[in-house]
Amino acid sequence: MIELRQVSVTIHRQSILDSISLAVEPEDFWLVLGPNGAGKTTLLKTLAGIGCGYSGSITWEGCELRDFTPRTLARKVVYLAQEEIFSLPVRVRDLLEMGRYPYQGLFSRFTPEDRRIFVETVSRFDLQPLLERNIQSLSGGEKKKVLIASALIQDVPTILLDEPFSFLDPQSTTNLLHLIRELSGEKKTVIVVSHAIDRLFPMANKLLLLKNGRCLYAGKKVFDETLLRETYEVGFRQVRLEQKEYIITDV
Amino acid sequence: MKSVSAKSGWSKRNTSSPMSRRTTLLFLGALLLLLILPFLGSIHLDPSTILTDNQQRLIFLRLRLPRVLLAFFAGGLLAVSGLISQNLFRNHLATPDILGVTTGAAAGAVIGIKTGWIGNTLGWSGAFISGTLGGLTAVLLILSIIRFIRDQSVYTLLMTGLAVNLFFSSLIVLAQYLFDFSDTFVILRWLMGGLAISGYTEVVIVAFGLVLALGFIFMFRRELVLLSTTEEFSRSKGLDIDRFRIAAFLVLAVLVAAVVSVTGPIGFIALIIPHIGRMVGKNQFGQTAIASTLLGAIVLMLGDFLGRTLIAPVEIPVGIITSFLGAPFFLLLLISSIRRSR
Repeated sequence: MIELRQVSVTIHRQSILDSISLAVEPEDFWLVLGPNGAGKTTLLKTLAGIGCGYSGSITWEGCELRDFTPRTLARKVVYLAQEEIFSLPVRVRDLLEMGRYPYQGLFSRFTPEDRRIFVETVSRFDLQPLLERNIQSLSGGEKKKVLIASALIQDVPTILLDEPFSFLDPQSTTNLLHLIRELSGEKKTVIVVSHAIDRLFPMANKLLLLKNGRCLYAGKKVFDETLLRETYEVGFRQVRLEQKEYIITDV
Repeated sequence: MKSVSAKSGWSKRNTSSPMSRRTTLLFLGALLLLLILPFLGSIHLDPSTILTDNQQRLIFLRLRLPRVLLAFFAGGLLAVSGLISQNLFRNHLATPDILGVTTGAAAGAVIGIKTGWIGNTLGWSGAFISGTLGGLTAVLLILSIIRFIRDQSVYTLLMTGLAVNLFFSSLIVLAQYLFDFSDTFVILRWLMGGLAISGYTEVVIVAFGLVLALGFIFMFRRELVLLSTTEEFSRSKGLDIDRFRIAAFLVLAVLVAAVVSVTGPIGFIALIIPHIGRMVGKNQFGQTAIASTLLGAIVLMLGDFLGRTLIAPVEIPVGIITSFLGAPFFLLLLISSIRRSR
């Protein structure tokens, strides 16, 4: 259970998030929507404790977020950025092993538990052929897969995804969608920021609409055309196709 | 479990030794040079007579051996300080020599000596202390400029390095001009970067620096790898970036000062060697660190050998040799990094 009460974030005297209140239940799947510059990324980063500080209160199971050390927080939540640009070469295996960093002390090595999660995740994602490669040499889809795998090796209950489908081709996008669905079935809390409304809307059970740092709607997922129009200033329509519901922009 | 681990390649890791075949070869190469080079020079020494011939033994023990040993440790230390610095700034051009940390340490050492604050001997531990202070000042300058500009691109780093380098070079000149002229030549010679030292004390200082550097790298290898990734990635893995960075910058200043206060500023080893080391170590950080150490040692030993034999009996300071070889390489690196960013 994550509770946000009147959370505001100001960066360089500019208000990015303005008194957001929200309650995230375990195993929720939140879809966060909003136009560019609405504060979606800032919200995710703040929740992951890697933002610039906030006013108001964010509690994880009753404990205030600012009181956590980076390491203990990294055992609860992982944030996956929209795009990670690596300026130095890093071996994929090393990057994946960093998923266990929050659990390791200065002198500790990989425990059997660390090893088990590592091995399982590597075979689940078929990362075996990539292990010795340099992360800089991977394609966009491969890189995303490695980063998500390293987040799963981190083995946290809450996963924050920031625009996970950017720079991905249709096949990688579909694979990633399947994975996100699997994750939400594995008792993980998932919060996704994405413009891919059509794909993610059917999967989510909660909806957060942000605009100019303010919350327009937070709660159970509903298709409310006026709210979406207010958020994006574009019309949306829900269509049925072969017994499935899709959301499309009204052009 | 066994089949799973074989499938994931985990078993491969367990059976591999701490040193890969490539690093073992480098190790043997460095060892070979360490054994051969003390006998070669303007006067060739004969291994069979150094025990009996007093003069030959003196040359071997007092001049050649400490010098080759110093080249070994200084080369290794320069290379790993470059490696640490690259990871700290997430940039392969951000090495102590390019950023001006080396010049800062040199300025600290010169000012310390010139003002009489630390006595009169180069390479003495006093120069090390004032050199560390100089190096730290340089690091603080670089960090505050970068924080002020809020940009960490190659361009900003290089320009910052240029400014910091200029600032500390002019400090060195100023100190030379204002204070005691008596050992200006010695300092001028020292500023060219060389290994012509008087004894084993200097060797011990630099060797200690290398041990500290390698200890730091292997104790904090996870942190150093995380730092080299991205801000978001390392933070979301739970790294306390700000705290670790401060500690690492302190260590970096000490390492640079340890070698600079003894040998003077020797350029380009810190820039070039880690780059090659990453290729040899196949981007695995531990292997890269070992490979860089050995490569740095080999290159500096060979460079110094060239310096003292090319136009013997005149010696070319090894700093001049490394700069000659390093400058074109630096240009290549710069071109490739600009191409990549386009």
